[in-house]
Amino acid sequence: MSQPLLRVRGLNVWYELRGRTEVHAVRDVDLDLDEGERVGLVGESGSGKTSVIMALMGLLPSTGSLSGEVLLSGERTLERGERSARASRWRHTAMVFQGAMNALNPVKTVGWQIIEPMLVHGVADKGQATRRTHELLERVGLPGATARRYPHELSGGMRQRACVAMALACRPKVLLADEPTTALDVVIQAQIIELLDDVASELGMGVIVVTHDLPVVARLCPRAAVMYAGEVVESGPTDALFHSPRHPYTKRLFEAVPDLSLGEEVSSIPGSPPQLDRPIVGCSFAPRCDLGFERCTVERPRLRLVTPDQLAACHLNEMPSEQVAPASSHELGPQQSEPDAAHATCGPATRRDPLLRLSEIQVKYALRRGPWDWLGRRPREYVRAVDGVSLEVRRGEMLALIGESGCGKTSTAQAILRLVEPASGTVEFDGAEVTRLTRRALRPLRRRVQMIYQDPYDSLDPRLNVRGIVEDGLVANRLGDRSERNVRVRRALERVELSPPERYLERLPHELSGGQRQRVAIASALVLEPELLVADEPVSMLDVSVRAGILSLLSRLCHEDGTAVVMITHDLSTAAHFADRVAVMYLGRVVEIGTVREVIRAPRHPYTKVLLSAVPDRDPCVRARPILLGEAPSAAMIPSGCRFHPRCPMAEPTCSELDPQLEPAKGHRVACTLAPRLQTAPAAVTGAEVAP
Amino acid sequence: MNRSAADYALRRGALALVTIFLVVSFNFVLFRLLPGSFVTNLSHIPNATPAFRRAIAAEFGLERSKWEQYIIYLQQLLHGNLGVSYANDRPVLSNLTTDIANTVPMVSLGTLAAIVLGTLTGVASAWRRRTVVDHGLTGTALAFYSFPTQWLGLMLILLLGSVLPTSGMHTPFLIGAPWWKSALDELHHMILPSLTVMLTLLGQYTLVVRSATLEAMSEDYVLTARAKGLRGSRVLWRHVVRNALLPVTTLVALSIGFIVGGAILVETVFSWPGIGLAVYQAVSERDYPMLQGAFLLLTISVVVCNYLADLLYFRLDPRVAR
Ligand SMILES: Nc1ncnc2c1ncn2[C@@H]1O[C@H](COP(=O)(O)OP(=O)(O)OP(=O)(O)O)[C@@H](O)[C@H]1O
Ligand code: SF4
Ligand code: SF4
Ligand SMILES: [Mg+2]
Repeated sequence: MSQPLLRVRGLNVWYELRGRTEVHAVRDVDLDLDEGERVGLVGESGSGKTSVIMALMGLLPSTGSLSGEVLLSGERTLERGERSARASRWRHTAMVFQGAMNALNPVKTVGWQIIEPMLVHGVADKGQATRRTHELLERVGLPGATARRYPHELSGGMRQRACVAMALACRPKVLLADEPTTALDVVIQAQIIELLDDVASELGMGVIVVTHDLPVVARLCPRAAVMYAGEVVESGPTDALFHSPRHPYTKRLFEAVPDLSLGEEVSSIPGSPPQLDRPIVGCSFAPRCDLGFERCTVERPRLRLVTPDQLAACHLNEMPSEQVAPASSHELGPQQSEPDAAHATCGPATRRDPLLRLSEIQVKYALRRGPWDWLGRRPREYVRAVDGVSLEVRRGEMLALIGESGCGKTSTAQAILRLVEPASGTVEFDGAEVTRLTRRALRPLRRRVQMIYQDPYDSLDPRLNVRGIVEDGLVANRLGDRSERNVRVRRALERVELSPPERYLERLPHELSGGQRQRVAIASALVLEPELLVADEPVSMLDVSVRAGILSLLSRLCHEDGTAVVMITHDLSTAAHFADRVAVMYLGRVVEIGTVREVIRAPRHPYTKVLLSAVPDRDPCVRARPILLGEAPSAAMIPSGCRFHPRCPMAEPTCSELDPQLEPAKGHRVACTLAPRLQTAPAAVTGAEVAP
Repeated sequence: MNRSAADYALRRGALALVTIFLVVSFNFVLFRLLPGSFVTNLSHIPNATPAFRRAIAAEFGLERSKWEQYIIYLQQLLHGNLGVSYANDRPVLSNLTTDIANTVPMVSLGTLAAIVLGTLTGVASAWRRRTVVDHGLTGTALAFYSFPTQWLGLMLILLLGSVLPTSGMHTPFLIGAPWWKSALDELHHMILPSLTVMLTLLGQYTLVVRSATLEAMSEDYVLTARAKGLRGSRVLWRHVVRNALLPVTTLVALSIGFIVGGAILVETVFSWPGIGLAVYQAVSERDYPMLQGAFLLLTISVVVCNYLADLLYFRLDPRVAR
């Protein structure tokens, strides 16, 4: 066997906490990476992915310590001194960090930061380095002049490209990418994935991609390792992990991720990962594993070969093979009947009238003016964040509002409650025209419409306990006496599956997990028995394994209790799985609206098709190339005619003149002049079309 | 200078001018609110004859309406007329000019030393956080910060009084010496008061710089810099310090603005004939015109320094450009 590029054996990482306890963050990890190979490292938050990467870079914090063996091109790296470790960083192993939001120094130009490692490591002189910087920037799809710009002048996607260019500066042998696409928009995410794919194959680097986002791994990495509680529980070809997982955690993890195939059940993994500051006896997954048996709680399963190229750490693999219950559901094809049943429940005749109706809503934000403008008496300029949105939401229905960041989703949601004042248009709620109410008359209405925010860490008061948080709305609205409030709080907690409520009532937010916090946030909305819930990215800050739980909770509230839900999301797969209807927004307009089936299965607007193609599939076998778009436009400069025409792959000359409106009919509607013609050829451009 | 920079300078400059105008007007109103009229105040001047009072009243146009008086007040200000000191009958402006000329070198020396030393100790203790170096430096800084200024001054006099001059700014017998000799003499006198000024400011700088540096060190770009394989010192100076010092510029500007205000306590302890001592005497002698003049000068200098800090910040932090 030839020498692997990178070989990790028995890597352990500990962090020292105050009070002499230790967190055993990485436990006996083995990893191999060949030249030109790409390996994914997946797992939930806290599973130790970043710790592995930092250990490989030799950049653990001072509280961290490690043991094990790391060989880079046959050379031991953990034992060398700081000097030679430093000389090898970036030269041999470079990194791309998460989101790139803060990975670049704000007071230095992009070019300076790309040149810096080349000069420090002496791989180029100043002139060469400058020239190479231009080439690199162009290679990653940025104009060479970007070198002179400061990080804050670039969009998130451009910054991440610049970071990739920076990582390539010294032609490293190994590229470590830690969550390279997290916190980016779908379309941008697809671009970065493509970019990484291209440069990695072109330069023949070994790449380790760390992510909690399984579709990203499915798209980028032929091989992957799944981490749980600091250990690798399964590794092998990504297809095999997906189609025939040999560890129950892998199977559950893949099932927890929604994708665009409408039929399949998505389920969260109950329970939470073990505490790493005390010894783990037996299998670390045992408390959450429904296939566990006696041996699992006493003996730790070792990672061993279970098929010629797949390793797993689970005792079941030593038993007759049927017991593993391989992911047969994936192979049996979609169960078509189920979703139809689910969708049928939301349509009784009594629920037909729209609860909420937005007509031609506009929201504008004034741009700040400088003194020159003031002297020159230039008219006030506005950003048209929402530019004529009309929507209807019925009781018992979940409407998903999707689109790239900055397309006006949140502004639309806020206009419903007049948290921002719409510049024009009307909002009707249950027959009453919200836009004409006085501030006072608005107050009772605000109780009937509740919001749930993106970040459960920010939205809960850290000093109140769960009881106080959930009760708050009742107290503020002077509803019920003490005992009645108590009953309602308990009922709300049970409704969000925090039961028995006694176990949670006295806890403070920091004593809850992210998923539990978001449940508390939902309970504090539910306790007021709202008729409409507006959820702004309710799961984007949560771990994959708990997302599905929150989303099915919302979907149940809607279908069982008849609450109407408006869910804002940038994640099409989420919308596809949980919503009844979908509205796709682009630059302040709804460009396509219809039922989930219509929009996801037979999209008609070119933008929807592009969005759909950008969604990587969780199944590694579906490896279609997405249609790529340029950078997202700004709402301050809306193009003439069809606002999508500068990016539209199907644009015709007339598109820059005619501003298409949403078709007047009911049902599945789009705003595109080509729509009547496109109808006949559904999904012609969709890359990742789902097998029927 | 590009357009956005000019734009920024203009906007900030307009704001500074408006602030100064408000301060000037406030000064006018405050003065009218003091008990007794202007003339009765003036009559406190020993041996003031009725003719002198009338002459002064006419000079300041006190028989006219308040608005006219206000306009005249502004005009006089523009010509540098800040009134006449009760204490020595000299124009306030010329009093102040002398005092400031004495104060500025002494306080600047102390302040600049505090800025440089405080930055160094702050950065050093952050870089070596939770080590002996850190504890030693922050401990010392905190101790000096908490000592009362007079006490600190007196201790220094006790400790070094035998080798360094402790009072005034000149040796009385040195009349007619060549200029460089008297300059050296002044510098010699300056050591103790400047040292006291430095020590009182040092703690504050060390702590502010330390926390700003710690914050910058936890940023992602510092991790990037380390991942790039840079030497520790390069990471520190090129990536951490530059960012950490941004919030410190405002503090620096503010204390430079206050240099003009002198250091009342230090100047009193060391009988340094600067503006602090002058203010102290003006308070004890109820010399309102002097107080008013000093107050005006101090606020203008603070506003101007803040304006300069804003411009500097603009140069240092590319994100301020909109
Ligand atoms: N500096 C530190 N001090 C103490 N404990 C730490 C430190 N850094 C990480 N840990 C702990 O080590 C474990 C692994 O953390 P790590 O950041 O490697 O996980 P991760 O898989 O990258 O998670 P995420 O997806 O949230 O980034 C966690 O339990 C975490 O709380
Ligand atoms: S070893 Fe046991 S508990 Fe662990 S994953 Fe396998 S079956 Fe479940
Ligand atoms: S109207 Fe033209 S530019 Fe707009 S979406 Fe349709 S085809 Fe594209
Ligand atoms: Mg991580």
